[in-house]
Amino acid sequence: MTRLIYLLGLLAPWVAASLSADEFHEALTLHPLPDGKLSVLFEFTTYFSGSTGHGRTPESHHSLTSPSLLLPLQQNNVSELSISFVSGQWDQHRSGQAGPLSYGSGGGGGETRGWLRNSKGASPGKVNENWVAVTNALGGLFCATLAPAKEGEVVKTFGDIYPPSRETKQNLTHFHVPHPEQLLCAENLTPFLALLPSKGVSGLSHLLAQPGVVLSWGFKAEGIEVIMPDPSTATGGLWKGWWEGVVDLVPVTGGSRASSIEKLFRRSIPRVFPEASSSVIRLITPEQDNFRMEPQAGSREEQWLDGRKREVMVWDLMDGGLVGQDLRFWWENEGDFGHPLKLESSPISISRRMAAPYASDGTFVIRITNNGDDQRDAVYSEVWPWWVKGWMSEVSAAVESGETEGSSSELLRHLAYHPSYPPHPSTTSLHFSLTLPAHATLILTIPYSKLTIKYTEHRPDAERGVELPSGVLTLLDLEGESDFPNSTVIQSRRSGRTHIYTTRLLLDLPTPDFSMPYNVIIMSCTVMAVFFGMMQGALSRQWGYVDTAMERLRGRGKVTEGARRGAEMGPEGEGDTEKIS
Amino acid sequence: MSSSAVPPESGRIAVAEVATTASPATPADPKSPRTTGGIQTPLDPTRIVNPSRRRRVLILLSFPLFFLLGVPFWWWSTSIERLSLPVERIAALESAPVTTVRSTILLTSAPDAYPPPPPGVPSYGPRQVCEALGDSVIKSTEAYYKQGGRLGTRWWDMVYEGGGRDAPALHVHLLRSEYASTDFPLKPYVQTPHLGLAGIPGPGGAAGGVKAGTLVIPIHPKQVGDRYLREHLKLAITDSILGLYPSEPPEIPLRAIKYSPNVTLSFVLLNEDAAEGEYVQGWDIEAAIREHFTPHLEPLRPIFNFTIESQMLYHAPLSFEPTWTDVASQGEDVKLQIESALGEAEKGKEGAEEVAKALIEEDKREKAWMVDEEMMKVFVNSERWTLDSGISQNPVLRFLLFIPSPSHRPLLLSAPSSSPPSFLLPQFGSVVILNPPSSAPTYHLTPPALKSSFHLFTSHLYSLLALPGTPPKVYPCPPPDPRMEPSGLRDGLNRWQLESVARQRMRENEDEARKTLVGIGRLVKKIKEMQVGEEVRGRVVGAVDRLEKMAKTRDPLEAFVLSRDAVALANEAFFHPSMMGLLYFPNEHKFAVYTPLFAPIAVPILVGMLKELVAWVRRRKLRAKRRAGQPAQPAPTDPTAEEPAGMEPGGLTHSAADKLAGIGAYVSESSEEGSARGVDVVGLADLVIVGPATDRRGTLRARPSRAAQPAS
Repeated sequence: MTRLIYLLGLLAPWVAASLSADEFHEALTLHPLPDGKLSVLFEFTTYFSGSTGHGRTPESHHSLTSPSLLLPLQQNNVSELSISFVSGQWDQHRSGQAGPLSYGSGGGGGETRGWLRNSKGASPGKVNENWVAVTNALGGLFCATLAPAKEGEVVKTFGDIYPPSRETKQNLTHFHVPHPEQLLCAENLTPFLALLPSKGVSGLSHLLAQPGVVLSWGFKAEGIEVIMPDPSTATGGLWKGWWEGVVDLVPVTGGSRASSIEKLFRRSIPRVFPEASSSVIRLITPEQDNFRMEPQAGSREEQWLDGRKREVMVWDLMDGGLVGQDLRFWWENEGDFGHPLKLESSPISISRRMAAPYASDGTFVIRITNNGDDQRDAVYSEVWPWWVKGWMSEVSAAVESGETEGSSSELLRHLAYHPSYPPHPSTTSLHFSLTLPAHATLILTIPYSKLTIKYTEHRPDAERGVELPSGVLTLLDLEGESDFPNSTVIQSRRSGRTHIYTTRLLLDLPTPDFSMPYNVIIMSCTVMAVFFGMMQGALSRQWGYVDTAMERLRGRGKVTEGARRGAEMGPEGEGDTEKIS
Repeated sequence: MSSSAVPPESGRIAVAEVATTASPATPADPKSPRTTGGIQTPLDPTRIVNPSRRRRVLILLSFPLFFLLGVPFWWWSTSIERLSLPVERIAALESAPVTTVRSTILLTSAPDAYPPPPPGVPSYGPRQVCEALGDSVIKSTEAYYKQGGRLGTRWWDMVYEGGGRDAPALHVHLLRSEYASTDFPLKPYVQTPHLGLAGIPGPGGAAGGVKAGTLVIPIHPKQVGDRYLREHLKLAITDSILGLYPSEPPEIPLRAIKYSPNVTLSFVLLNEDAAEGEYVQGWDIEAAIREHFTPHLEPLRPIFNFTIESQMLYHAPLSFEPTWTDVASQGEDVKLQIESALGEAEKGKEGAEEVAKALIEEDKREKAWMVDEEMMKVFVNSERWTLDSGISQNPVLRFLLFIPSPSHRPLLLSAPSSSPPSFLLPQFGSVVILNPPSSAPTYHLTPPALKSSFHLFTSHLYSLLALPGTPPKVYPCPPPDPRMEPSGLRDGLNRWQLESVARQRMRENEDEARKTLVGIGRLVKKIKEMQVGEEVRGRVVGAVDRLEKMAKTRDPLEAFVLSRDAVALANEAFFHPSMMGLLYFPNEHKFAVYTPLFAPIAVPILVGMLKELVAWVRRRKLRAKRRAGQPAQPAPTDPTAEEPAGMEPGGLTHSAADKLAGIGAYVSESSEEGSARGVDVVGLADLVIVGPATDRRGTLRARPSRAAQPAS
């Protein structure tokens, strides 16, 4: 818990920086990755202080912010809210980064988290209603499903993992709703741009306002994070929106990685948004000597990124000198790009797979690799739908290789298990407190069974399977990104990335035959007809004599047939009549 | 399948067992060979094993009977709750006249506002003076409504006494004032909440003070002695009451929004393109609202709940390109001048060229970007502009202050006399175009800079909410201090106008509530399967109650509240989730559900019953035939049978058997009743089942040759 408070301290600087006057900052970060790709991150940050009138009529005045974003939050007592959409997979191995540059992005699909203030004197259910109301409102705004389909789908045990950035947890309730099936698409980009004061017309957002370009990128992440002003302490609010994508710099036909803003966006550097307080393009330079840029950067910074000290070039766009220009970067003397044979791995990487995936059960295998020199403390968290039932007694943690050997109890220090309560819609959440030995891979195995879900609970595309939300590894011992003097180049704890996500997992469920209603109708009709006919026949049947002798006389083999015919012909032949009598 | 597999003896024994143990229904006839043991004829096992005809009929009937018994449960489980609606009361409301509320107006006078009586004449108190004045006002009002075919009714009564809590809300007061105009006609005004001429605090003022909302008739001391003062007073009071309290509240124009208790006002400052520079960076919106809107919104609180939001847009591109043309009025003149100057220059006149140049320069300055009427319709680019938060279902009135980009300045409306350029969008809001002077890179709009725009917004608010303006014969309230300049701003709605709005909206609500209630009644009547639950009925009854109560109310505001609640309840009932026509299935659907279930069941039941019926008919025919042709019948062939000979199988007539053969049956004798003769029918299927040589069935299949032998 002390570490969480420390984390809170990490977020403190900008909270203190939030002033009463509204401010808008924008930044575009380019980060060439070792595998010939480029990570592009747009960040738009607005500091605001909501102004409400003094009269009896409720008023709400906005200048750089959009009332459609903030009013629902204000009305529903939201203290903090964060929404993230991710489509595509982040390759931890090839990129050398544990995740995208936007630390707020989740592991896959949609995700909504928030802290809501408990209203005084209101019923405890009120805060839940508020949560549903605010997620519905923002879901409408972003054209996406953000609200929980059922109330039980809300996870409330993630408050320690995502602590409030400003306030203490007192009087706050945390909500977490994963929507792993929700993908980022064009409908989410337009409302995102509409929330920005520059509306995609000027400033860096003009580069982003091209769905045809930015949506063609491989990995895409969009998100917002809102921290509402606190009326009690009169501190201002902040909202930050980000968009990140990964572009392949190497042409399809092969070639060099040389690229530029114009090549990436088919637009030159746009005119400045006049109300912006800062507008910068940042480039995290790769660790190669032959990397060149033009024009030269205005300033240079150092930043710790995933445990590595990196050099960041910064171009300030506010002076207007770069407007209409291009920004090029290339690797000198690079002919065709050759994929590196060995890639630097990130200090911590995590993967989750499914072993022995049978129809009824399987095993989650979570591999957490610590490439750093230090032993690390972390919490691994999972959320399952109610129909995934883990065998908690069978959970095991082991070290795969390396010098460090540890027993399971040392590796897995504590397990917080919040089971679901089927058949009500609910979720299971798990928090494993882990010790990650240095230079070792910890393997966490969780066997599970799949419960049978009702016919009506299946998704419309049931055969596709159901996504499980991504697992989250929360690092408890980070030291932050800012520069520390006299430190080595690699220091695995120097990072601002608190959360490392696994990918989401597609779990196939046994699906019923969905043409069942027709079969049921046909079957029940047949059963009714046969059963009823038989019952009535048995109860009202008339038994009688059949002359089989006649048939024998005639030498016919089929007794029944002959008997019937005999009976039919009975009245005609004198002999038949006699026989019946 | 050979029947020889069954030993005849075993069959015989089995049948005998059946006969002794399982045929209690068979009457014990001492003469019958059965009682003496064993089966004597092939007919006997048939008789023994088969249930009697009556029992079979009962069995057959038990199935439909079972379904009949199930019908109440089916009815109970599938019937829908359909509570009765107060249809008669709704019908009565529909035909009832529009509710009108009669108000009372209090007429009082300051004791020194009328001339003292001449000596010798008894002095009257203010009350008597007012009564006399009131009578003449009533008379002249009545006369006004009657004359010239103006149809109208005086919806008010005059009272001359009242105070405290029950004081009528409408008050006319004669006031003697030093600051009043000395000229006639008198200049009545409605007291605003600030300090009035009397210098006495307005709201809740002490006795003698003029309350806000009072219609004040100021009389200068010089006028008090005037001979015609009484006539002037009568005229002034009549005219102002006619203006402030019209007989019929004005119709709600189409441009105004439909009544909704909650209304959102959204103020948006739109910079066409801030990145071009010379844009508006901020505005003192709070101060502007406080100064221009709050005085108008506060009096409306009993009727509307307002919510205000404001935002600034830095990029609000137009969806069209305005046209760069001459400013309408001067354009033609200047063109002519230029032409003439150019013509003179051609003729070689000195200086004419320069005149033309100067005129062309001037002309450039007179040109402007024009927005014509078609463009006004598409001015609001709702695709790109987010004009309100859209967080509630309330109607939103948008007040847009548009700042054109420097390349589009000045932006004007082509419609003449629209300066400052502004227009109203019916039921949507209002647009004011503000062309800032090109002097600074950014602007901050202070309250004085916003004054003219907000003045327009205010008047557009009045149009959009259908609020009444000040009538011509009522003058603006003078400032509290006579030395102060009049504010020039519009006064907020006074109590008189508020009542007018309440009456107007009450009529609208009542109309809608009645229409909705009638609609609900029609809908429920039309869709027979529609559920009418307690929630719907409660709301309908509540709405009807309120509408009925409304007619008995005397306070216009109270009546308005009733009408507001009635329309809300009626709409809630109408839009209740259970009132969805699509939720209820047509009969075809029901058939589709029930047919697969009941058709297979119905076939055996119906066929069985049909067979019984056919058999019964046949028996009757046979009996009749037998009765008719008994002598012709052959002699009984089976002496052991207790029945008359005609009943035996041997007596099976050809004609009957012919017909029976069609369904594969044979006729056997039934022996239950001595007198009854019948034909029992066994279906084709039965015979087939009989055929197989199983043990159980074999018992019935005594060998025909043997069985027949004793008979023959």
